[in-house]
Amino acid sequence: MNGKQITRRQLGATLAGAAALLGQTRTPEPTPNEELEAARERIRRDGLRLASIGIPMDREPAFQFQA
Amino acid sequence: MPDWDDDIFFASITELNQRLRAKEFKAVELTRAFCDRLEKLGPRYNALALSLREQAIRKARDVDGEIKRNRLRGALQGVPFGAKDLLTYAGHPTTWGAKPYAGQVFDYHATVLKKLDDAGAVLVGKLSMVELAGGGGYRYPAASMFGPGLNPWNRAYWSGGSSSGSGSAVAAGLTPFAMGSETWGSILTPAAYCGITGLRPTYGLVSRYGAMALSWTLDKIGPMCRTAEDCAHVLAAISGGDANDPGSSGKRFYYTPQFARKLTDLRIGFAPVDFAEWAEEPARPPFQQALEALKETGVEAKEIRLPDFPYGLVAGSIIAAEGSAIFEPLIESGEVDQLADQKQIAGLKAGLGIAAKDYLKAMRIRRGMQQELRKLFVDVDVFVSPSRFGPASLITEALDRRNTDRTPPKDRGLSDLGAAGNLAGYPALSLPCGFAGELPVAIQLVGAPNSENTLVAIGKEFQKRTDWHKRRPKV
Repeated sequence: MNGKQITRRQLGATLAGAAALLGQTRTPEPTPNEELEAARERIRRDGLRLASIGIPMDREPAFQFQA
Repeated sequence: MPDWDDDIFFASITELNQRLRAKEFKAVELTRAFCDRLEKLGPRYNALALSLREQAIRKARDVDGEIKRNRLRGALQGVPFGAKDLLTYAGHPTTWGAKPYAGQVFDYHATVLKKLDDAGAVLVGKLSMVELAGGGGYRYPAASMFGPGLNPWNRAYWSGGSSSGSGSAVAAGLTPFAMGSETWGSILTPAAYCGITGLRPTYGLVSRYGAMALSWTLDKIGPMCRTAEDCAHVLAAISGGDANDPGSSGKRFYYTPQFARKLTDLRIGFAPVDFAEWAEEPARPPFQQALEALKETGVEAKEIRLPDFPYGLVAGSIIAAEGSAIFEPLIESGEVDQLADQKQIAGLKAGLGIAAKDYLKAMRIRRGMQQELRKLFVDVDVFVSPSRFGPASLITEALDRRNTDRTPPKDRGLSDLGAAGNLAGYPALSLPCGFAGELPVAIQLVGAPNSENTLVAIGKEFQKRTDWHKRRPKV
C-alpha cells in the first residue's frame, strides 16, 4: 500500500467509466488530413444545399449597417 | 466563523442576500466558504480555471462595510459567483479554454463583470469551458485545456458545453450562480445536463464587451443559477445598452413580477412528437410529466410546428464563417494545431474557405426565417420543448456519433427550436424537470424578444410546483 486511500465512490466512478469505455464500439479516429478533408467536404455540401434554396432577390441579409 | 452546513452552498441568491442583510453571517465569511469549496471541489469536476480568492475577499469586505452602513444595493449584494473563462478580468489570465491563449491577459474587465461588481456580487473564480466555446465544432467533451467538464451527478458523464465549468460549479454548490455564454446551446445544454436553471437572454440585451467572440450575430451572455427567479435578478444587473458592443440593443431588463401577465392569459406552444418520439426513451416520462405540470399552472397549451427551414444548416454555416474569420490569425499562424480536438481544428481551418455567397445566403435565409417565426407569436406566447432530448453523454462518447443509429421521426415538431431560437435571437429558459436514470433532464421555454419576464413567471410557477431544481448531487 502506498498509503493513498480510494473511497468507494471514487472506485464506483472509475469502474463506471471503465465499463462505459469497454461497452463502446471503437471507431478508428481519422487522421488530421482526413479530418480536414471531411470538414471541407461538409462545407462544400452545405454550400450546395444553400445554393438550392430559392429566396426573393430583395431579401437582405439579417444584419444591418447603420450610418 | 459560522458553522456552515451544506444548505448554504445550495441556497438561492435571494436567500443568501436576505441572510446577509439579517447579519447572520458576513459577506467575507460567505466568500471564504465558497472559495474553499470551489478550490477544493472545482478540480474534481474540471470546473475551476482560476481562483480569485484575494480579490473576492477584498470585495466582500467592502460589501460588509456597505451593509453595515445600510447601503443596500439589491439581491446580488454579497453573493459570490463564478464566470466562464471567456470573460476578461483585468490583470488575470483569460484562456478561452484553449492552450494557445493560456497566457492571455487583458487590462480591462468585461462589461458584465463590471456590472455585477457594481451590484455588489463577489467574483470568486473563473470557470472552465470548451476551447473557443466550441468554434469549429468539436467531437469530444475533452475539447478543453481543462479536460472534459465532469458532471456532478456522475463524473463518468459530461457536464455539457461550452459553459461546462459554469454548469458543474452551480450544480455542485461551488458558486451560487455563474455566468455562461451561448452561441448555439452553450448555456442551455450544461444547465440541462447539470440540473440547474439557465437563462439565454434576448440577443443584444446583455453587452458582450470583454467576451470572446465566436459569432458576432449569435453570441449572448447569460446567467446559470438555481432558480428562474435568481436568473431574473442576475439578468436585471447585467442587462442594458453598451456603446462598446455594436450588437447591443440599448434595451434593459427590469424584473417586474408584479406586472407579469397572468398565467391563465398565456398560451404555450408544443409539439407532442418532441415528447413522445424525439425524446430519448428514458427521458420521455419526466418530459411528459413536465408538460402536464406546465399545463396545471393555468397556461393554455396549443400544438404548434416550426415553419419549414433548414435551421441547423443556416446556424452552422453562419457560426462557421464568422468563427473562422474571428480566429483567422490563430488558424493562419498554425497555433490552431495546439487545440485539443482534431475535428475542431479541421473545422476552423475549413471554415476559412466558406464562400461569401454561402454566408450571405445563410444570412438572407435567416431574415426570412425570422419573419416567419415571428408570426407564430400571434398564436402562442411561449414555445416549450425538451432542452436536450436526453441526458448527458459519457465523457468518452463522440458527440457527432450519438444516436446515429436512431431514425429521426418524420415530424420535425420543435426539434429545431435550439437553432431557430438562437438564429432569431429569442430568449430561452431551461428548467430542470426530472431524471433519466441518475442524470437530470430539462425543458426549455422560448419566447419572443424581450419576453424574459414572461419566461421567468412561468418558470417560477413551475418551480413552485416541482422540486427538481432543489435536488442536489452527492459531491
